[in-house]
Amino acid sequence: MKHVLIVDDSQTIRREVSDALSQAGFAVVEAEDGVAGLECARLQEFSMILVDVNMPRMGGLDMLDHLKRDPKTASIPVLLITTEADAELVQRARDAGAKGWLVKPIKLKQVVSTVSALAV
Amino acid sequence: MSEKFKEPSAAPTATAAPSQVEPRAHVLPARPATGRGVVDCLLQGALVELFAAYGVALAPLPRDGRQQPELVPSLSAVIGFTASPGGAWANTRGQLTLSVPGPVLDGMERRPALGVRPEDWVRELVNQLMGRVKNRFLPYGARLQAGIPSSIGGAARQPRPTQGGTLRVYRARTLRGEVVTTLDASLDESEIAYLGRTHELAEGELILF
Repeated sequence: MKHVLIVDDSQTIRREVSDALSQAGFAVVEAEDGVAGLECARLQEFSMILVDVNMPRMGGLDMLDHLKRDPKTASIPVLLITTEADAELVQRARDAGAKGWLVKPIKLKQVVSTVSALAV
Repeated sequence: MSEKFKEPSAAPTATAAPSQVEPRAHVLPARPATGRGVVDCLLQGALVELFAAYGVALAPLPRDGRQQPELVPSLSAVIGFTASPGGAWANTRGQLTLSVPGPVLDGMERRPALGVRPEDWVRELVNQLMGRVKNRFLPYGARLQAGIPSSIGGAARQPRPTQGGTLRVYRARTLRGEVVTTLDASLDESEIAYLGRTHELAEGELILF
């Protein structure tokens, strides 16, 4: 079974994405900010990580930088899920090695199909 | 871009040959003929589209002299923002609130899952509203950086202007109650002009690298 980490400070978003991915056969772990997300990513192997951008303690772009600098986590595909649509931020994520960028509101079917296609 | 926002004087005439038609001006009047300002139009549009995305039809009520709504719904959240230096409204700080009655939340197509507090859902909604507002201001040269949303309750729900800001109160009717949103910031509309579409993504859009 593939493991997916969802990092978002909104419990609502975590829960609905988690439920949709679980129903699609993924094992999902939730974290509420970038700091907790990084800890999870270093303790367990994940096939994919979904990250919000705007979070307390550590935002998604900083978490992405940390993930890509660590050889243990550098190869995990990362998808940013956020309300941000600014092209400069999207380019920053791209340059940092993210696999994609999804602007909320999310469509759960789209999230499931994207994770299915990108998870390693 | 709605037609009503375009400069009427720059519109082509019926007799002009195509080669003689001047391009339409991209500078908007600070306050269109509708009586609503650009900020009002963008914010109310963002609010309507946010709720439409979750299957709730909103009918915005005109902003009137009463800047205090008679009743603020019990579920409220706030998010702060700062305009980036170098753009319009540089370094201006403000905050956006959203208050939603419980029955409106219950009527949304995607309700919070079991065990999720409705306050968390309203926090996420104000976060998404802020995202939409930010995206709508980008073509006007204003780059807003949002903070972290938080729930508000009790007396804090009653909107009051802070730090000399100009409080704008927007109400919108739904079949299940009235939604209230407030914008508290000194946003001088004479400082912004429509610069044309930027390369921001649309809400719900996915791009893969």
